[in-house]
Amino acid sequence: MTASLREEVELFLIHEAELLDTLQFHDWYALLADDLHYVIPAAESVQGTNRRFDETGRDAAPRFHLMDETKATMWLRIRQLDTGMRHVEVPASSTDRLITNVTARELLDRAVEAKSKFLVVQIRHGVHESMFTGRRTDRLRRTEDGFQLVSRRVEFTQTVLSRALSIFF
Amino acid sequence: MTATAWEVDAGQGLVDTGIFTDPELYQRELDQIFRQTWLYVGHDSQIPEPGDYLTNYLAETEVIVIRGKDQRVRVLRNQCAHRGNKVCLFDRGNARAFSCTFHGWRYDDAGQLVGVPFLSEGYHGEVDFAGWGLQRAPRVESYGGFIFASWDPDIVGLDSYLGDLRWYLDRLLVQEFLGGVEVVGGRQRYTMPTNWKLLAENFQGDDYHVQITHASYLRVLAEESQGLRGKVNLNDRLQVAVGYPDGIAHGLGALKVGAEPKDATRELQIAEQLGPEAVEWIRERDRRVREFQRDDPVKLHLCSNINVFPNFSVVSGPNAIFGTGLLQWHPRGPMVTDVWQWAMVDRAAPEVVKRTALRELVGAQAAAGMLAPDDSENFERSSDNLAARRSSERPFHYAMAIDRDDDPGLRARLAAEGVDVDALPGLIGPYVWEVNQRQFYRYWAELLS
Ligand code: FES
Ligand SMILES: [Fe+2]
Repeated sequence: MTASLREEVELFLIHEAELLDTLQFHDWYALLADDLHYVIPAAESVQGTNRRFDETGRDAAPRFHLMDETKATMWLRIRQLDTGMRHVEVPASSTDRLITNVTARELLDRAVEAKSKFLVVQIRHGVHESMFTGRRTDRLRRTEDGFQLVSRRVEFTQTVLSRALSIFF
Repeated sequence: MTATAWEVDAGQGLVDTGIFTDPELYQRELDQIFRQTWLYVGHDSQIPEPGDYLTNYLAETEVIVIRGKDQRVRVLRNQCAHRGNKVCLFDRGNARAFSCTFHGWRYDDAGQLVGVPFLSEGYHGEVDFAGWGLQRAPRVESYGGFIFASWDPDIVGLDSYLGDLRWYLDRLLVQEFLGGVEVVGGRQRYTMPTNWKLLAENFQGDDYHVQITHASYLRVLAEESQGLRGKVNLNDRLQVAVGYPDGIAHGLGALKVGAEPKDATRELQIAEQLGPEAVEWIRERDRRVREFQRDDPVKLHLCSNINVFPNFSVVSGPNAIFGTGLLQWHPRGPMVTDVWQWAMVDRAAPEVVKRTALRELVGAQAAAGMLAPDDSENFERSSDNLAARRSSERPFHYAMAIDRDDDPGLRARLAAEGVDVDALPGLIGPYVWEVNQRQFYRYWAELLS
């Protein structure tokens, strides 16, 4: 891993987090690749293994995840926010996405694998505070306009989430 | 205020808001509601082999749901008989026995005590092995693979408890004519600062909220309907009150029925985008549905929401390529509920259909879906107000069309369309109807009195 690659990736992740924190959802959507696969598996503790999450790749057995999105379903979610009637985001939650522990490595085909950890604080109506921590494994693709997000797998540290999810990670 | 003074006047449609906040009443619910009813604990497909288990809760009590060597499913309290330690630490697995990590008492897959360290040195061989097993729910029964347990040894059988609901469950949930169903891996869990009853009654019969609470979802479907999700028409839907007027109250909402079986054109269009396997399955599925419904006097097309009293709910999608959600409202105090959700698909469906069906559910009525978080938001706002409740507060309003539980106009309209609506078990009502919620509180109050 070269320092410059890591820095490049980190800036992308920070930029992306900033777009979400400042509610610029269409600009965020523009960073998603057409073949996006965005998945948040649900945690489960299984006897005889230390893995908290099952495989989520395209070959894994069908499972029920917290999120399991393509670019098309992300578009529906963005459009839902656009209606102004997505009550759980009216008024929009206050959020801060802290992105850290970033590593990156080059893959074939101009792709990069990026790993990061996050701490996301979400506050609704000034009083209902939730915190989400976890790790992400992303696949990014280099394009003429910079990186695109091709896949993301989010693993929460929390097993019982402190609220229903209305924000992106 | 004495616990019996809570006003639940289902006949007037008025409900004292204290039932959503009072800690003493909550304790009574744990004894009188959650120990005198059948509670859902899991599905056969999740524990197919001997030794397979999952952990779940009967209200606040953690239990192990395990299939024994004898194939029988037992529901064991996850509490060592010696001094109360947990004996199982996992959400699921396969085990022949459970050993306590405190002093090492050991229990077999039926919960029998089979091992005690220092038996001769410490106890001089005198331990009542038969009397000190894991506590077992005295009643465990299943309906079409859906396993329920009860702490009440004298409760009516599960079949009687479900009553008329079974007619609907056979067609919507059990679906043996399709080769059965499968609850897939993955359970969603999140907390809501809300009393469990507000969630259960929502699925029991609050279809009134859908067009407002979920306006954003409905609009997006209408505007972006070139995708797999289509425009939703809610006007021709119905509700059914099972157990009306004085039985065990279960509720179904957003049903669609017809003189003819459901048309599969839309499913086929979706399937075509998924490939020939999916098309073949939908054709076969449609054939089986038609065959099964041949002798039904009225054909059931859809049903979106069900609540099995008290706290097990079901959400189904608008078509066969949409997963079904199984929801448990686990009470965690008067104003806290843990929501657990599982997902179910047609067992015989090809993998591409299962995958798509699950993704559709994830995007709709699920923890991060385009529906459920908006419900959570409303309940959170109501609960903020409930937290500031004073005893003089006016009751909640469930009094819509209070003197008109029966709707002869609706039945006449359906009859004119050739639908033999009287053949449907339970009391049939229109889509916007509060009878199911009134019935929920009517039965709830009966159990508490
Ligand atoms: S508490 Fe389990 S052996 Fe003592
Ligand atoms: Fe809802």
